[in-house]
Amino acid sequence: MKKIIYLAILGCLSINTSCVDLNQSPKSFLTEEEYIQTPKNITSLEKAATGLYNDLWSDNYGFNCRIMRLDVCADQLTTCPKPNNSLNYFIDLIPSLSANDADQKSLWSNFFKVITSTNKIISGTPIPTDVQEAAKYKAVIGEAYFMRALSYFYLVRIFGEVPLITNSAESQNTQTRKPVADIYNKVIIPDLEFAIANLPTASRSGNSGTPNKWAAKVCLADVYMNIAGWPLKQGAPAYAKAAELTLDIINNSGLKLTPAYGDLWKEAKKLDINEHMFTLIHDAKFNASQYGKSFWPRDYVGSGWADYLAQPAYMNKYPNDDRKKFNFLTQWDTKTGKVTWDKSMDQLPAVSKYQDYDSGKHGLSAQSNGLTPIYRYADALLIYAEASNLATGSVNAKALECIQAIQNRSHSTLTTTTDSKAFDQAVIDERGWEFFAEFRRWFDLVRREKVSEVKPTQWNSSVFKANNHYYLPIPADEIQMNGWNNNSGY
Amino acid sequence: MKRKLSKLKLLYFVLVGSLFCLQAMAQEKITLNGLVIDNTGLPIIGASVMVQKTTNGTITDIDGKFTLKNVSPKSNLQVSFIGYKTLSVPVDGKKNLTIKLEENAKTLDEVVVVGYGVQRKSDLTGAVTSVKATDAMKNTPTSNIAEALQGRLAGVSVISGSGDPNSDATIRVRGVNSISAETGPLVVIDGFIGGNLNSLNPSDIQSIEVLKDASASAVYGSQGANGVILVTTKSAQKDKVVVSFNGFANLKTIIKRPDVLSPGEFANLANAYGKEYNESTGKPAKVYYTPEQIGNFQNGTDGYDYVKNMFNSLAVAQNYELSISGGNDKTTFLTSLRYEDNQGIIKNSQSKQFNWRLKVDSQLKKWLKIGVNFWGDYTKSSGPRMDSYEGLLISAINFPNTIKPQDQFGNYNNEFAVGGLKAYNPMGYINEIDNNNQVLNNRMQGYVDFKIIDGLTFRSQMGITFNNNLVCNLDNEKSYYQFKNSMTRASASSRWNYSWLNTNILNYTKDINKDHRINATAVFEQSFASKYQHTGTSSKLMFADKLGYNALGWADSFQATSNSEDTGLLSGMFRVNYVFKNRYMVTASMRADGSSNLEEKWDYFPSVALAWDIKQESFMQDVDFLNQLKVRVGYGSVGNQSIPPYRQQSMMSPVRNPDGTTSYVVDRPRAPYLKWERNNQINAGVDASFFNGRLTANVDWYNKTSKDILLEVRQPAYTGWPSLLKNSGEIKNTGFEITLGGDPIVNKDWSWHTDVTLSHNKGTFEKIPTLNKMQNQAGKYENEIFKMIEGQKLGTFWGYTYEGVWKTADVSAVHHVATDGTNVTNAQFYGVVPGQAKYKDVNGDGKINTDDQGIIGNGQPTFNWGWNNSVKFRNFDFSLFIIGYHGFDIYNATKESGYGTLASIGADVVTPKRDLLNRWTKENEDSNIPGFVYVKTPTRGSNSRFVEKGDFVKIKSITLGYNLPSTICKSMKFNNLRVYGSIQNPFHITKYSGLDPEAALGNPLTQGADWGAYPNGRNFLFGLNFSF
Repeated sequence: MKKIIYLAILGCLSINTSCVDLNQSPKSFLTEEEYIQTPKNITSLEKAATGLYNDLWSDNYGFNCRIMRLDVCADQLTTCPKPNNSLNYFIDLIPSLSANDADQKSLWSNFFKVITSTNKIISGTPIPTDVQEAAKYKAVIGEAYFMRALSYFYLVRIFGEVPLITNSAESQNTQTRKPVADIYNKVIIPDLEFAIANLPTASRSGNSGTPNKWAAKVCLADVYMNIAGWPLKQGAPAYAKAAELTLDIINNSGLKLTPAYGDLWKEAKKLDINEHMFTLIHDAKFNASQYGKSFWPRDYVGSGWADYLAQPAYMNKYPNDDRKKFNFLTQWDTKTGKVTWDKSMDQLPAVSKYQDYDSGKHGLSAQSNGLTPIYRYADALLIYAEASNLATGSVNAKALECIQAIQNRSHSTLTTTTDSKAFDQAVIDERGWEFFAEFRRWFDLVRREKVSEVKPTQWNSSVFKANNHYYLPIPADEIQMNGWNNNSGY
Repeated sequence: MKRKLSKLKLLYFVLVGSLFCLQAMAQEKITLNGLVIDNTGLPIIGASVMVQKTTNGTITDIDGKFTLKNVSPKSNLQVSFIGYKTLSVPVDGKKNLTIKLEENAKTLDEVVVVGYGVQRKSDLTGAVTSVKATDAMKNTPTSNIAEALQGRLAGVSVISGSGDPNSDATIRVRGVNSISAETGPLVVIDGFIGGNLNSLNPSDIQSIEVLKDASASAVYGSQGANGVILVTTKSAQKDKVVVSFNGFANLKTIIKRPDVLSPGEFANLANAYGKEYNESTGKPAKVYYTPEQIGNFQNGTDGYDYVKNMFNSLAVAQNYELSISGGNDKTTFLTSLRYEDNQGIIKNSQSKQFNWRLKVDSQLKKWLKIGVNFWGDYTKSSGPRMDSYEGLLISAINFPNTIKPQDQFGNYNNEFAVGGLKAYNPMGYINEIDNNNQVLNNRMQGYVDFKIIDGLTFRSQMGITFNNNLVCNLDNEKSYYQFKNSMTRASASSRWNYSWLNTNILNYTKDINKDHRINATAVFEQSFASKYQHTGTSSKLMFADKLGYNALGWADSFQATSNSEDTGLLSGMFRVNYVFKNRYMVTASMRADGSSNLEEKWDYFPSVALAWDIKQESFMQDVDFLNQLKVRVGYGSVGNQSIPPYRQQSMMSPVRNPDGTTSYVVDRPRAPYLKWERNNQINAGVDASFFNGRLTANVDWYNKTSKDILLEVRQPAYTGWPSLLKNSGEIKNTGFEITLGGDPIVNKDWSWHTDVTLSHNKGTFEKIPTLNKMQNQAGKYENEIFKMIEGQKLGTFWGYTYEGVWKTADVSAVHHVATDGTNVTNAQFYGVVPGQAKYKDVNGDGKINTDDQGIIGNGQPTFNWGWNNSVKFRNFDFSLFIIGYHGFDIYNATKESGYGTLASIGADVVTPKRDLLNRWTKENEDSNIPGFVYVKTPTRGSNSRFVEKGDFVKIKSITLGYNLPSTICKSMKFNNLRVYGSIQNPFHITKYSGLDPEAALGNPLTQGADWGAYPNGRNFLFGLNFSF
């Protein structure tokens, strides 16, 4: 009897302690559905939008690093002759999948990561019914539209035809590469128009780290510049649109050039309201930039990796103005004393533009602070100068005023010609001087098909010439997983 | 044993015997003298000798002799003794008889532990192998039981993948069956699921059983997919308190040091580089070292031997185990304590471990037994950075040894000698580490066992495990972290985990009659695990060296994270084992499991197995040499769900903004529909025993298919995430295992026991669900050489085929004639220069790109074996243990690192690599090693140049022991005393050029990748073992 009682008690106990709950939900994170589809308030939405800039940054060797590497394809930068330096493939205009897949992979997946996140925000965020509230929400969602457009804009320029994904469901299906024109017309332009319509006139963050209406406009103007040039070559009508957009900025934004060129690149001033219209802001601790070791020569006393050094030929052409003094480092300390660039280990001048961003620890760390410049007011001025001329075939006074404003600031020689062709060349050159090492040069050379002019030797043996395009290879994995054809020549 | 019969007992038997004698006096019959011996000719003392159908009988005396009076000449004698087969001998009027008793084939009636209960070994239907821990430990003394199991269990691969005192041996049962849910076998300790062999005191272990096939492991359905290891710990003997002690010291040395150039040779090589490399770019030669400097290197006044200084000349490990056990009729106890201090052969790597146990079992009532088992362990370990990325070993062998570790101010020379790039000094990895990892496990387990009615028992058990972990790390002003990030850092991370497991077992065991035997088990089981982890990290410490992680607040920047996870499992199982006429056996089971990790929570896992003991058939009775012949066949299904929790939910993650605030980003996507990974296995086997068990053989064949494996399937990057966890893909493992055991010599002075295990396994990807039927293995560095390819084996290396060096003549040779009639040379077609590495252009398009990659090797061993010998001569015991692994390749990345083409390590443009002396030069055109030439666009990626055959045979241990004779022991009041010495890894035979081919097999998913692996040492071990 006692036995049965014991047994009964035990039986009850074991049944009572049961059963383990098999429905466990996460305790240390929110799901994206919870977070995005039921925003706690506008702040939680804002924080998701701010996350997009982190997505773009990606990691230490993310956007800032890769876009820099891509820019060595142009004529401003080169690299040191260290062995196994995969930058040589870009410099020689022979991008290669076998020697260097990392750059393509990183660029490709970074932009699509941003696109995925923006798609989730755009299609997932519920817009309040109240009109005023709705406007506030849309102002934040406008950043997502801006970022999606910007990502596609880079993708279409770097890789050409890419899949077009504008909502989360689509990405699960097998995609094909869509024509370049579709990417512009179906996503980039409409997204930027939404951003222009909904973004505030002053950025949410109070600095260039988040876009405002004007940033979206200058980006759209840049988009039209590219539609006008290679490969779509829509010419004058597209230039006219770019001119119209930039004129609007010049006349109505209230933006001004920052008086001293050098102040644009001061760590202490990076968060000021200034000429920068859209940038990726870095902090060495949280989302570092790569302006550290990579920009210092190998024999520099603080030690450098000498990844990005200046092309001496380009430096020699550079007008002798404030910018030249600021942008180039021609002598530095080594262990055995000061050395000038032509006597240095690498025999190349260094780029000093981003020197202030390592907070005084020159060459000690690869990671640094600062910002990745994407758009600034000078873009608006020079796009207007270029676009208005190319749209009409004549140089108007405003265009001259624009280029001169830039030149005046740096005490450079003023462009006075009103000959359309000469003026055009002056603007292209001016863009080179002004945006030296700001990751625009390659895109400029491509849309205006000037690579063969500035790098004739490399051009002749380049993949680009042989295959009649300027695109990088799509990462090998992506090709294999989708069964696509890569851009020709890879 | 036989001699140990107490005198008291003898006296008793003599008395009883005499009584019988007295009784028998009345009849006029013959007097019979006899001798009872065993099959080795030794007398058997105390064997009972009875005249059948009478009460007349006696027992043998100390010489095995007996005398029986009053025996009818026509009667039969029945002779019996424990452990021997009872024999019936006709007297046939003889007056002298020598009777030989045969030992009971001891394995036949042994009981083995199976899941949720025990079974007679003879009734087993599944593939179960068993090892007596004491035997294994005796032959291979070690502080980790896993290492003692190596090569002893066919089909079970145990690899000491590293000489690192902080790492465990890797155990896999019948190959790798899963990818994303890849784990080792389930360890069940005393019936409690989810243990860790490394947390056990080896001397607490009684026996280890491994359930290999699905019919045996299906009872653990949910977690049995990778095999099950059952550990039974020792219990106390009644009526006797025994204290036993085992201690040993292990002196470890390095077997083979990496062979690098001396500083003088290196300096000359650097100058050769300066000449050849610069001349290849059309520049003047550069001299890095003057003859004077080289002289200093040569006479030893300058330079530094990093390779030598990375290792301890002698590392010492100590191990002490003490246990006390005893009890009375009702209650027994066992308590044990162990301490181990283990120094690694690489400097500053060490671990300390304590183990404790208190086990009490009590028969409260005839029908009620209860017991508790409190046990745990504490480990503290630390060691230098051995990562695949810039780890110590690869850094040290490639660092220019012309540079001293420190300058005159004590700062490290963090710079390469030739290329001028900064690199962290290898000695910093060793000298500047300040880290420790402390783990505390406490397990509280208890059970009640009811005997409800005869044969029907109910057991309920509950176990609670507390797992605490504290990891502290300081990166000081001279650390690698400071070097990389220009700041100091300290962190402390702690884990507070607890889990419980409740198992309720209802068992009915009944021998219904001679012909029918049944054993039925029903189980209800549930478990819950809760994990909490938090980490605090500070950077920019003001007083890093003085305060470090003990004062995280004394810093400029902080970060904190925490994570919490709960998981639950719920299971029910029913199993029946039925034996008919001792020869036909069937086991069938069904298990249902529910997991909180999956969307489709529940699944069912059946199994069935049949066995036939042919020897028991009447027609086999006369086959004397055969003691057992059993054939088994089984089929079963087991599941796997060991993925991180919450994968069916998407995840947002916090990220830091440049202003220090936080924003939230979309992290991994949800894995929308996850269910159990299912592993179906068919097994067929034969167990045979010959010559009274002196020769045993087990042969098993199996075919396992893992379906719907939980696999991170690579997906296009445009989906926003590189992979998605899915139930897709299929892996097949098929193989056979042979275990042979023999006792070729057994006599009074000598005995020799030998075991051979042979295992063959082939694991193949049957299905890879991507468009091109292949995918890269997730992960970096060593993972990058692998590719999962449908139809190919697991462990396939992928890369370019190396074809040597472009010779000057080849470069200028005509490749083809162009359409316009001009000759196109190789130099023009491939853009190559003499001395450059040559890779196979598979598609002949003049470009070396991913289209030219293919299979270049395989790291999965096809065959392995173990051969164990133990020889006893009087009081000496000697054992020799050898293992072998065959049919696999090793990707020698450690070697590749010296050429500067390995992505995970920065190397100087010239390294002190001896092979570089034989590089290509204009004078050495036939070399296979690329020269010091400028190659503008080199090809990077894994290639066949670094793939080597990995086959090896390794003497694992040679052990010699001496047991103090029992008479001396007795006089000293000991039960036994043994001293022993052992050499572990004395040498191996291999063509592999690296340090230790076994170390390359450590990680099951990256088998065959030697990425600066921590080599196993050659160990000299001395120990003492006694009890009283």
